Amino acid sequence: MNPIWQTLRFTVIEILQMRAFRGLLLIVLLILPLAAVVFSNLFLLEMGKVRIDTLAAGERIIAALYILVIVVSLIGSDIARGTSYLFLTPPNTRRDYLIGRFLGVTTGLFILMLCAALGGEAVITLSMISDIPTYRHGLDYGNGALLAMFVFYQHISVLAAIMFICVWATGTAEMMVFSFGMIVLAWSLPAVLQAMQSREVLQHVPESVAVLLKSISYLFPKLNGAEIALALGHGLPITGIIAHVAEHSGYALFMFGLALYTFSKRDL
Amino acid sequence: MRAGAPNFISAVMIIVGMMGYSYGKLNSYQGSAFSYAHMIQAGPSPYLFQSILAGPARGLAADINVLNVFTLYDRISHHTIPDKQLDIAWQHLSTHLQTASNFDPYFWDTYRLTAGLLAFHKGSADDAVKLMEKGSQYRSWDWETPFIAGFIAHSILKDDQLAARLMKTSATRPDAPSLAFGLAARFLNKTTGENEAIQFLQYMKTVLPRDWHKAIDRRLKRLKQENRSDAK
Repeated sequence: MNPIWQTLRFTVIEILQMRAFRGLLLIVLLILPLAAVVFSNLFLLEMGKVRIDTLAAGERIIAALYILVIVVSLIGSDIARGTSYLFLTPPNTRRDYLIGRFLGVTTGLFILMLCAALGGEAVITLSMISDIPTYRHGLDYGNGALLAMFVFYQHISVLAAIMFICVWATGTAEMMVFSFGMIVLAWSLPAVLQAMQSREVLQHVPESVAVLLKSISYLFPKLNGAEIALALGHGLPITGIIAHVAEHSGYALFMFGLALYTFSKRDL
Repeated sequence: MRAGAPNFISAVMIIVGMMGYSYGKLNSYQGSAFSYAHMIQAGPSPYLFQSILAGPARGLAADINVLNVFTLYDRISHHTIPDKQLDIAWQHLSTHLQTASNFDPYFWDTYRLTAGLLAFHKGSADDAVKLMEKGSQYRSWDWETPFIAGFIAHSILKDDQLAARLMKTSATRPDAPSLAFGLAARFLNKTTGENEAIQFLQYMKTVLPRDWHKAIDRRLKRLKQENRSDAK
């Protein structure tokens, strides 16, 4: 059997056996859709949009938890405790191991987001059946699944960055701290840059700072997760998807390339 | 100790712990004016700080700001805020609405609350119209927001030029009622003159279906008659 496929299969089985992962599955399938429905009932008109907002925020938090609780502990224990030796017996190479592990944790996230898509679609179906058009303005079948798949795709590059952090860091504590930092950065920085470049804020910012902000924002995708969630919540067209996919693929490939290089050079 | 005893003790500890926590929470803020006053003094967090916390969950951040508007208005209307802090409370209410609109400029609830609460509070109508005008720029499918904003501009701000602009925006939106272009024409007639109003109605005639033409012709006729009687 192909060593990459073998490692991938083993990783997926390992993840599915984890109680934390089953807990996350339960949250995205039951608790998150229920929370979205209950929370939206506090609003006056656009309840469907509030449901999408809750799902979007919840799915991103769940994806971040998956990375921190499951991926970092899995790869961390492999490298820090030396479990990776079990995989690195000939003919398996370090490259096979790392690619297999990366594809395995990506598959785990895909399973999680597939369940989130099911939960999201259940919420949307409920809205389409029971709500009047004003309440479900902009909502359509497929928006819940699309949202989950966007969250999945955006987190592949974060997963690649986490793989790099895990193979570069020297211990579990270091891995956890840097991974948490990476998640916080991916969560806040695009949103902060977008907020700082809004017309209201730019009025009070010196020109040199405005140029600096614009230069930093070139490093991040033009279309961010917040804009996608808003567009899906209001039924607006999403423009620039191809560029968004290309940019995220670029980050993922770059970070995973760095991870492969670092792992091939480090002492185990 | 019996085999089931540790489970029983754990269950009792959990229940007593939860009761203690609930009692503490329920008795901390028993509707005292002091706690509300303290909350009003603190005010809403700055937009940038909220952006850092919200990250990609901008929609949810807008929703939470709208919920804060409900809470604040409930306290204002139930007189649980000291009178001397009422003005600050209204300012905070306006800030929450503006922040909600910054996070999600398409959210209808924000503009409905702006029209229903902020517009009719003394001195806040200007902010309300500005916010609704911003909303109408984003919500390109919605005729209601610019229509209500135009109505507020005319009736409270007495700014017919602004009212005419907003009504014109409303009239060109899908499913706008005939009242919108009737009012737009009237405000235009008042501020920029008859020609502008007639041009606007004739433009509306070219973009609206044939069913509307009779109503527009009636308005054109009435406008001309009104102007003729004013001239006499």
